[in-house]
Amino acid sequence: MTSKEVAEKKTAKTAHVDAAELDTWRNKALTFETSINGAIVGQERVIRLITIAVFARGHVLLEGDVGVGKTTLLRATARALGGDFERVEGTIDLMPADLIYYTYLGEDGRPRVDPGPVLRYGSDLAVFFFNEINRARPQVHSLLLRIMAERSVTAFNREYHFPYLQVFADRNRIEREETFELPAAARDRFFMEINIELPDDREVRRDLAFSTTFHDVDALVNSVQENVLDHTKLDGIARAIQSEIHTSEALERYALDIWQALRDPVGAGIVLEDIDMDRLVVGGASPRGMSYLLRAARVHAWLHGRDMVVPEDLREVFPETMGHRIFFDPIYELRRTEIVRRFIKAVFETVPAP
Amino acid sequence: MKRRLLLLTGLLLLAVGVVSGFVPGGAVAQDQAAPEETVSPVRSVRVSEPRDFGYFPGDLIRREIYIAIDSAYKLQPASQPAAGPLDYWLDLNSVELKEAESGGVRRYRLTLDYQSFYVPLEVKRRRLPGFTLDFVAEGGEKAAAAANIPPWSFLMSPLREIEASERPDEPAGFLKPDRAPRLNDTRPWQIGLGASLTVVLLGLLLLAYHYARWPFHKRAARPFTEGARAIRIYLRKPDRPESYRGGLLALHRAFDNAAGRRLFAEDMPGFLRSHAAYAPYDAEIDRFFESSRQVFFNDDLPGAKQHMPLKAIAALGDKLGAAERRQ
Repeated sequence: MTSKEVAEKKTAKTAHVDAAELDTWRNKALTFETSINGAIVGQERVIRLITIAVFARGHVLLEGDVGVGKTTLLRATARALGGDFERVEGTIDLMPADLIYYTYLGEDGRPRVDPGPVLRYGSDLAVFFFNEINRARPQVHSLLLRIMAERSVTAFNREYHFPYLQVFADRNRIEREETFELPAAARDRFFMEINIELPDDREVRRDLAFSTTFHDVDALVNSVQENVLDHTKLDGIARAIQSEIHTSEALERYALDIWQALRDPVGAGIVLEDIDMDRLVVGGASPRGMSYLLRAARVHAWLHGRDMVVPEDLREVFPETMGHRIFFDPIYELRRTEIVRRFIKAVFETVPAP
Repeated sequence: MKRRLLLLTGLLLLAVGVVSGFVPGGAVAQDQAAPEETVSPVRSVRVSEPRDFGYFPGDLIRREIYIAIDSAYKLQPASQPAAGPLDYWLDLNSVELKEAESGGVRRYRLTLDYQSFYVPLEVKRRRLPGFTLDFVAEGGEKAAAAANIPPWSFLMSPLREIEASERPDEPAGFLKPDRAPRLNDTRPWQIGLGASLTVVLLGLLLLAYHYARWPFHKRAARPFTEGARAIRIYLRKPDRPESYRGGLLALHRAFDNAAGRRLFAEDMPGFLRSHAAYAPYDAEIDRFFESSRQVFFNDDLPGAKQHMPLKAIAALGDKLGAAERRQ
């Protein structure tokens, strides 16, 4: 039996999850959140989004300044999530083969070829970290795309499947030298692109700088409760959430209106100061993005104990699930972060709901 | 003695000659053709005169002079009389010259309009002066020609007797009452003025509206009042499902317009903080948003109607509208 069949059997077993079980899982999800919040302060929203990504089975790209705690956050998440976890540092000379196998001379002096970081744990791999993804070459990106999209990779003359795999990548946006910008197709495959910023709260900042608990990262990560969630059951739960949480016709219409407004802001009557709305959007907002948005919105509704998606859910998860899928005219691309924020705000302030 | 007699006779003859020279023999003739020498290029000069009697002060007299001349000649414009006062009693009001040419003959028609202001005490003869019209040949090879227009006299009469037997201001006296002034019909002008004033006023109003000037400058939008009005329309047919949805939507749009952006249930606390006038109704507003969620996002119309009937929504709209108008 291949690992894929095993996985299918397991998910089939968990496919029928009743409402009561969803409630217990919600409690688990909230515990998951709280335990990470205990280690990472001032990032409640980011942690909520990561929880959503975990329960929507989507890959996450983290972005932010150096030293704001991206890696710590991911380590804490991996620990709370349970399952095997592997990480790779992106460097300019990293080649796809380095992810799949590694070669060395054995004790007997003979050359050996062993599975690399991706294959080492076989199908039990739950979290794969890609640090500094923009330092890796496009060849590596394309391998990663395949792993993300198909959860499988071909190596040693057979196919490996990773049914529980969730990829977290991070990217710092300060450096541009010796980096390879992620192509639009790669970014589109990420479920969310989360921007991590320094917490605004002065008290939290003081804590981060002076409290000794935040100096020892290992101890901090170890303080996170381990294996809060059973990673083998997540797929089934995710499916149950998607089927149980209800989207009404009015909400679907609303989501379509939002989509239309993204692609044709002039038609929707959206005006942003000092921006030529005719030229702003050149493309993007893919159908895949829209389906991800609805997936995230359902999980958000579920976390709030609702069995229906409301516009607030869409609004809450929208910047992270759709923001990186909207492509601007090159003139505006340089001011992307600021314009995306204003644009999305304007869209939600303009499109009527329900 | 004989010499003196001779001198007297001579003077008498001279006087007779002078007098006969002043009074032209054929003055009474209406049309008179002056004989011309055959060598002159002027073919004919004819003066058409009006009657020569019965003129009163202020009367107009028109003389028309017809001249035919070789087409080689042209009238010198400077030789025709200039319009203007000619004497203390006589004005030349207008001079009009017409010219036509056919068959080697150039014809002129000169129309002169005189006006006499002479006030005679008895019937008196007056005289319009004669003048000479000069013609020059084109090219200047031939000699200049001239046409003499003789003077013309006529009789003017007084308007009233000198020794009045009646008092002048009595009915039979010469002072007649003034003629009543003619009243112009101003009705079309009044209508035109009214119409154009209306157009101007409308234009000003439109401009004021366009620039949001007085009286349009600060009429605040009344979203809840409008919303409540819309809900009342739905209230007429409360059993139709569209009515309930329509009522909810009307109030949603009212909230949106009041906030200037789209408001969701989660935004309500913030909205009520910034619009304190509506805060007293927060429980009702919460109920409204819950019902809206039930209808639109949970497809549960009966449950929502039970939770908050359309009447209650209309009542909430009225309350919010009243709160809005109190501001």
